[in-house]
Amino acid sequence: MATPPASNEPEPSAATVRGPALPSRRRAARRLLLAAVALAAADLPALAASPAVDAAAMARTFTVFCDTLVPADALTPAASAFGIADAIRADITGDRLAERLLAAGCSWLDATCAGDFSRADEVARVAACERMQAMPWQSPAGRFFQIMRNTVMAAYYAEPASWRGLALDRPPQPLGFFEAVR
Amino acid sequence: MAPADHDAVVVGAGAGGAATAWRMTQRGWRVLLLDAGPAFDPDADYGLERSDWEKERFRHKPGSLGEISVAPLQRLDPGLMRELRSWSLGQGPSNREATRAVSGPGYHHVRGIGGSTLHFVGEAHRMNPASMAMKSRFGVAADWPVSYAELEPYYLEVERFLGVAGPLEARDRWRSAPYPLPAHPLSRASRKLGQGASALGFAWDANPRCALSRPYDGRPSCNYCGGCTHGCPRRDKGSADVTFIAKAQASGRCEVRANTTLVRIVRGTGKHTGVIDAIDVVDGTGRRQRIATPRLVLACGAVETPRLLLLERGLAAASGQVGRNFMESVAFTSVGRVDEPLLSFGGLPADAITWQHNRPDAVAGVIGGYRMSAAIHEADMTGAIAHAQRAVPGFGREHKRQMRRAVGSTLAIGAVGESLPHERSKVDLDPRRKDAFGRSLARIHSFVDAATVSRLRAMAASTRGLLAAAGVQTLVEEFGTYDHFSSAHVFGTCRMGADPRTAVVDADLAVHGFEGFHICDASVFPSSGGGEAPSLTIQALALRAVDRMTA
Repeated sequence: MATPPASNEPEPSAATVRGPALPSRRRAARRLLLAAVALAAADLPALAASPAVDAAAMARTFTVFCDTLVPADALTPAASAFGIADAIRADITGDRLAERLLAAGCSWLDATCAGDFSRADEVARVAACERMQAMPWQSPAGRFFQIMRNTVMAAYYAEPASWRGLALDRPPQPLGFFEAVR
Repeated sequence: MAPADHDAVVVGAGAGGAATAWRMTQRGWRVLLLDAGPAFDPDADYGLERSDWEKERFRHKPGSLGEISVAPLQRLDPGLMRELRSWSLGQGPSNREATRAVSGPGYHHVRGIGGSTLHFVGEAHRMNPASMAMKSRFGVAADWPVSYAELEPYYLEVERFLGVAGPLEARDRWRSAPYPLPAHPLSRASRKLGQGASALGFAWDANPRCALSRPYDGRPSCNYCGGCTHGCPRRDKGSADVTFIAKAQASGRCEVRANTTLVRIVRGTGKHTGVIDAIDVVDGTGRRQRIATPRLVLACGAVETPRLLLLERGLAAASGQVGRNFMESVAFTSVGRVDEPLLSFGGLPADAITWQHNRPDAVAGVIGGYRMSAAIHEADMTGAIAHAQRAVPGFGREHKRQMRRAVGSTLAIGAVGESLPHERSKVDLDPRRKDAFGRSLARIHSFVDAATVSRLRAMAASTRGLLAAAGVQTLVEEFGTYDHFSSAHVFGTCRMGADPRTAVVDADLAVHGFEGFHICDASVFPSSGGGEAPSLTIQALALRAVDRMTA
């Protein structure tokens, strides 16, 4: 092997929602997610205090956040079509640090959109996410965005239905890619 | 002590141990080949046919990653970060700390039957003869006590055994016969990179690869899936499990035991302290067993082999060299994007290479060379997830549109360079962290010195320059070993040399001061070479070592 792997952040797992994942693999993926979140959030003193949250409201906000990151378009569905937000929330249940990061991120989104991100129009939601994306890594909101963006993208693009329109539209085996060397 | 059931015990079933065991069976010896890690099944374990194939690069099993410790790493020079930092468009800087960071496991390896050949790309490189005399020519590292000419017949034998596909041009590495198989066709992406190399005046060769370009020895040819680092389900990649170990077992003279950990090396007593009487092992069920053996070969790599020696007080310690001279991957990779559909996720990984800077004096003012090769697969920038996370920034509908342009249109050049010994780079025992048997873990001390920084700067300039010459206008990611410890190739910690005061093993890989005790892995390398992949040299050295063992 000539070069080292380029994946140098703690590998954000993909909280798998459907497909062939076996229970053991799902547990492994969950451990990876929790490890990534814990490592990434460990040096954020702001997460020491848990904000009061309405669980149902937070679930709505997080689902719409995921769909803002990956909305439907003419070729492929939104993140919610694969149940990605629910799966991520299920995976981090019981991990206090991850739960606090999720709560902090959703609270920030709601506060930025007049109290309810999930009811804001698309322009306002995209603007909020752009602000959040620009937040520093040392802020809970910035950390939430980076971690969840990675996690959502990994979960979404592991679904074959997301590959429509990409040059790579099947797993590498069993057919291989003879066309790449022609 | 009960008589031995085997003529030799080989500990470690990677590139070196597998070749050693096979050669011993050719001599008619009965061999026991042990590994602390599991066996893998190419038909079931690699996942390249799964829709979630990209989520894990190599799907490790329990026990297939050895526990190691990494000592605190040095502070980074902010003045160098603009030039040498690791970053991506999608994720920003990958090390936000003030010190070097450990990337993933740091030491990227597989413990198991086949060892790291299970996840290696399979480059089959011979050493550049010019890189084998670093001490006498440049006053660094140590000279090889075995010449290229002595190794050449063994190189050829391993190449023929594995079915290496390579180019007609030999360049610095003279050959007594051509490669057994023709070179693979270059991918579209590598042909594009070749345009850049040509514009710069660099020869752009097919990279010698132990993946089959034609059916060979009962194995099929490659179908260019690009997944070598995930493990090869077709068995066309010449990993040690489907080649050396399969043939050794077919001889009927090799017993292979997975999940079996060496926990003690038992020396002779009285007048026989220069021999190894036996080893103690613990199998996967926790059962401890003493195994008598007239010959012991350690082949556990340049991190674990010195650990095993250091754990046995005084064993091979006369030189004081065990664990010193640690050399690691010195690497820099640049990834960019073109507006051209290249299907760059496919093709054979590292199918093309330039040796332009490989000689140790190739770069003015820098001791130690490097090579550059097509690296999109090793950069792990092939699938949609990697592109979505790292290559395409942002989110939303525009992110989706850019994804459709980016996947298959990214190119990467990876440079791998000489690593030279430094007194601060070594492997010792961690005084605090222990394994399941209460034995200290190996602790890696990695240090980037000024000379390495100079080499990395030259490498980074070259990777960017070649991408630019190939038409890349946008870089999307860079990754290097200035701000990360990230090593797939490790060397030097049981140095080979004629003088027992400065080396651990002799030119025949026999441990100085012992009879019937050998080391057959890259820990014996006196110098690393200018970026050559080490497995072919490990295997050539192993065959030669067995041939020179007394019957």
